[in-house]
Amino acid sequence: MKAMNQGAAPVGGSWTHSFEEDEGSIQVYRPTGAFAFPPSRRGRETLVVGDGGELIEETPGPDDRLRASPEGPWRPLGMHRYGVGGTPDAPARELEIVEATPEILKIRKM
Amino acid sequence: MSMPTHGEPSRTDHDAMSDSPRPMTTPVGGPEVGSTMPGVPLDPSGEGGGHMPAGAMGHGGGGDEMPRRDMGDAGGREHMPGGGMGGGRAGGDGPDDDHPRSRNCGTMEVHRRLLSLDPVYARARADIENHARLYERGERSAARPGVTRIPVAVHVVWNAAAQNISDAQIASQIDVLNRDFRRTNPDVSGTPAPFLPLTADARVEFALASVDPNGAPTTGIERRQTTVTSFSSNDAVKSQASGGMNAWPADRYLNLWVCPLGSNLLGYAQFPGGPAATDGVVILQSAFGTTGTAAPPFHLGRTATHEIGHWLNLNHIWGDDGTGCTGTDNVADTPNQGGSNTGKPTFPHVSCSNGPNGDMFMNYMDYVDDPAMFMFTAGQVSRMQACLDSPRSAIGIPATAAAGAPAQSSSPVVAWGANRLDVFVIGTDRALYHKWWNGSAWGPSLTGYEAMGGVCTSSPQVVAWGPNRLDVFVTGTDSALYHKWWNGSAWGPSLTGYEAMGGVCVGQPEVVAWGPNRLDVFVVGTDRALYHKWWNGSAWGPSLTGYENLGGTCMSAPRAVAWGPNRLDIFVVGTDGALYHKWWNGSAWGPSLTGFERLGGICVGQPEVVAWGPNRLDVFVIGTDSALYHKWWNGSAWGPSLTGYEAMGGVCTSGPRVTAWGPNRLDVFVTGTDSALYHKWWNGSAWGPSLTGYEAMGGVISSF
Repeated sequence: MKAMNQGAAPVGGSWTHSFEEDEGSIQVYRPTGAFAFPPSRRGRETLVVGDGGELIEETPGPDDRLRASPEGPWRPLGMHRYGVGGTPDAPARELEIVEATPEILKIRKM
Repeated sequence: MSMPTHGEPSRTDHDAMSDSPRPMTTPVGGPEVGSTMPGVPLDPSGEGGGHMPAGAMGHGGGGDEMPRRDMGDAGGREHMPGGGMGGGRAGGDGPDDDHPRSRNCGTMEVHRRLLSLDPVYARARADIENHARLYERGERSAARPGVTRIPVAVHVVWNAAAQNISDAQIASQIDVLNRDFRRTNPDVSGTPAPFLPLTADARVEFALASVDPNGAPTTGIERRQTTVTSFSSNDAVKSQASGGMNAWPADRYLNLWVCPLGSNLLGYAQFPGGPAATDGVVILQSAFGTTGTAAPPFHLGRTATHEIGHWLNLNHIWGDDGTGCTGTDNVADTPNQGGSNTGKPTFPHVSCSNGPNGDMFMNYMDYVDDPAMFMFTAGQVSRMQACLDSPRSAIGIPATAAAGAPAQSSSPVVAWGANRLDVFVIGTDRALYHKWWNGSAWGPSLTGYEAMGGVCTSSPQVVAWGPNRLDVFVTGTDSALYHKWWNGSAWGPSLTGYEAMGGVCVGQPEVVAWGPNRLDVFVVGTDRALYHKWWNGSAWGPSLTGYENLGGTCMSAPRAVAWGPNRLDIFVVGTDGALYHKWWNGSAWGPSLTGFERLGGICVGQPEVVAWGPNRLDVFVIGTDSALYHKWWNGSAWGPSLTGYEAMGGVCTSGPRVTAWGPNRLDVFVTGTDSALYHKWWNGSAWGPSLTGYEAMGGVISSF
């Protein structure tokens, strides 16, 4: 696992859930534009990290439409853990970055 | 019990009809199949589309009050004790809907937070949910009795040529919907045994729209090439301005957009209660239909089935709470389920302690591949019907009123769609007048009439062979038949003009339409034989002014019904007073071209006949004792016997008027010796209020 700068956003860009590759509680994300996702009726969650480090999560809603919820900036908690959310649109929660390379992002939602 | 026979006819039964003199049989050696009726002033105007002779024209434009206003006056209604015709129909939302109802699951809290962004939408959704809950609890049942057929507008928005999918691919999708929503999809038999008894017919059918929002004929498909290479779920595809195509009115059409869709989406929907401009569902072009660009594993048209499930207010089967066990789809007969399933799961898949049968992953509202989903449950059907009764109450027509279902004989009043009425009457100047109910108001005004010209000697007989289509037939002062029609945008041959159709008719014409763009007209000639002409979609047969002689000596006007496509059943009263029957089976007249089947009885006045389903006929006549009598064809035999009748009591002073608003339902109306209206009904298992009893409905009826 790569060492990461604990004081900034751990990743940038847009990552889409490749749920077929999930390993138990670890969720696998791939670069949104650069990975050939197989078609799926289940909509794919997408994490978009802005230039300022703020996180937006898109999740499929009850009508299958993707809904974007601004989760605010990543807040480093140490041990590869980050706090996100706490906004009017998203409850506060913690994520653990298990692996982050240009090709793959593995996270565990706490 | 058979009908009273006050003196048997002296002649044998068949003689009275089929062997009676037929002066106007087809001319010997004549080249035409159809003969012209006796004494016919052929096409008196000299050309088709002429005005009727001696027509009192020039009543000005539409919207005229009728002369002397002797028919449309409100005074008529005031004679009716108890308010007569107006009341009754409740507005949908009863006091129950105002009950605050708590939702106590985490998902609903999240949902509420989303909804709080738009209070109007949130209120609409709450009302819809509370209404649906009444159905779920069994406190209210579906108001639509049969199958609802929904007109579909398909908007194909394409960027690359391959995305401009074919009409055949669209048709294949409609076919899938008509199987999946009627539980006639063959793969439903693959439902695991514990779930099989829960599978249900949603009683919804779909048809490409035949009339566009402006009333013009349409294929129901419109297409646009766009510069947008891929749409998202932000609804840009639903607006012309953003590269898509605008919705058709959501209260009349299901909008179905087919396009290139990004974000790995197969489709998305809009729940009822949202804005009309974006109402409908969006489907990825390669997940649409079963042919063309449809690609496995989403090549069986189930994406549209799933999304239209949402459009009819169904929730995802796991309750949209991620993978938790607290979410609900608001349907009781689906198991509690953790998260969504994907691919082709193996039965059973247990979650949320829902063993031994586990998840109902083969339900259309899970996320599995097309070949793995094939059923709705009864609870889901109840929820969809609740949606059709309330937020989508305006859409669709009963499938029994659509092509291919029984078509009743013509009448002065017709309904070509849900919540639509067209009423035709003859004024004191004997011109034809028209008014209509468009779902919200009477046109041209509450008490006004559209003047349609002519001098009519029969009651107007009208049929609608499709939405927004009317064909009106009357006889003129020369006793010839005249015709006019509404094509969805204008009256033909003109507002006050008529097409002359020849003949010399005794009594009123009868018309039936057994399918789109098909008309069959029956009249009695001066020789009292039955005559027939037909419109086949492109021409009148046997000719514009000619008629086919079907024999007989008719003492009543004919009544005709079509219980299916290319099927006709005609009933008349013969000289012996008995009822006679003949039929067209699609290829020939039975029992012969000019012969009739004798059905016994001694009938007073014209028979009444309705067909509430395929191969089903119910015939009502008045006997010489003025009582009502009934007989029926059940698909294989006449009941109670070929020449017998069921006695239904009463002393009737009018002919019976009967309608069937759904399968196995009959409502009969007559007037009594006190000139009041009386009603009885068949509810599918018994006659109400009793076999020979009637519900007194008051009034003093002078014309019925």
